[in-house]
Amino acid sequence: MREIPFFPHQVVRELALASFVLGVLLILAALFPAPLGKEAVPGEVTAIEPPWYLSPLFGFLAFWRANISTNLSFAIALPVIVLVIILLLPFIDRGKEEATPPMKRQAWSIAGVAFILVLLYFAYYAYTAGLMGYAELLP
Amino acid sequence: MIAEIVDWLDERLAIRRDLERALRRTVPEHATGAIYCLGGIAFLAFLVEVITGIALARYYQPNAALAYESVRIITYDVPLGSLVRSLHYWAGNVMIAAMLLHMLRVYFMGAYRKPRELNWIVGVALLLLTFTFGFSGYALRWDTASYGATSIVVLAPASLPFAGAWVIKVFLGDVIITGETLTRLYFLHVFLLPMTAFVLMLIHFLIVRRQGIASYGEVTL
Repeated sequence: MREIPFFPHQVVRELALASFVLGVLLILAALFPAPLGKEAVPGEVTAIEPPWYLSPLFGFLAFWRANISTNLSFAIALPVIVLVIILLLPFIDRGKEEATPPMKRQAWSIAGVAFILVLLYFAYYAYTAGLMGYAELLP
Repeated sequence: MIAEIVDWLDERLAIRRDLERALRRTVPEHATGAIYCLGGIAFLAFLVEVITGIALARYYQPNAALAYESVRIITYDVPLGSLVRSLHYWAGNVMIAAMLLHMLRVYFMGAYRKPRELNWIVGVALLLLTFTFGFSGYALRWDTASYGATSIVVLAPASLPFAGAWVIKVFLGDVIITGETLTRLYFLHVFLLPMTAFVLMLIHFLIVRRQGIASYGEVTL
């Protein structure tokens, strides 16, 4: 394996990348300021906008409520089970190589892409479900 | 100048040997490509969060009656307040996005396998922590959209049998999201989560140092 010096070679590259990322953040912050809606009134839910990284979860709950059951116990347990599987992945996949190109471990790659597609579907469902899809989730 | 500072410190703390060793380290060339920088970008975004977060905490009021108004003041009255708040908002989103992509990189390479099981678990824990970071910060805004989303996330466990009522009592202090909840989320966001994240990141990086970065061996990407 070829090695390059950490200092100064890698340090310079990382500083360049860091400057670029900071520049992008400044441009985003300047052009698209953080939103601020109307003040919340405790106890009153008039709008529900999940943050994007939680939208697959919101979509899944709304989908479950609309199409499968109004009992959410299992719908809440399922993501937890998926999470445990993700945590235990290294103990399920016992491949010997320290890394393998995706094309050489196709079953895992296909499973990964399928999982991403499922997440995207539920994110899309969350986006279209809107307030009414979630409001019923409240106890 | 720098040599003199190093001399001064070396005389007292004997740092020269460790410093030279740190600077003389080498990096495997395969790990300097574009897809290997995602974890580093997440960490950089975290540093931006810490700095802008400290600035925001000077003005933010974790109190249901004052929270929204303090965010409004930060956004419209405090000099550069909107820029700092927007940086905090964007760096948070970039941090989560970079972590997710970093995780995909590790997954699709199978780089989580033996001997890196522990660091995969620490990484997943960091991802969950960061989601909680983002979500608790979103709640602090205290506008109608974030209030509604917070209600769903926090009240969803209430529909669970047995534990539901207990979760509500401990976490919320009430059956709806109130100032009590806001105070608890603020404590999470500015104290408990940053401390935990700092420790987990340190462990994550030390393990990477010890194990090196997974490679394909003969195969080049």
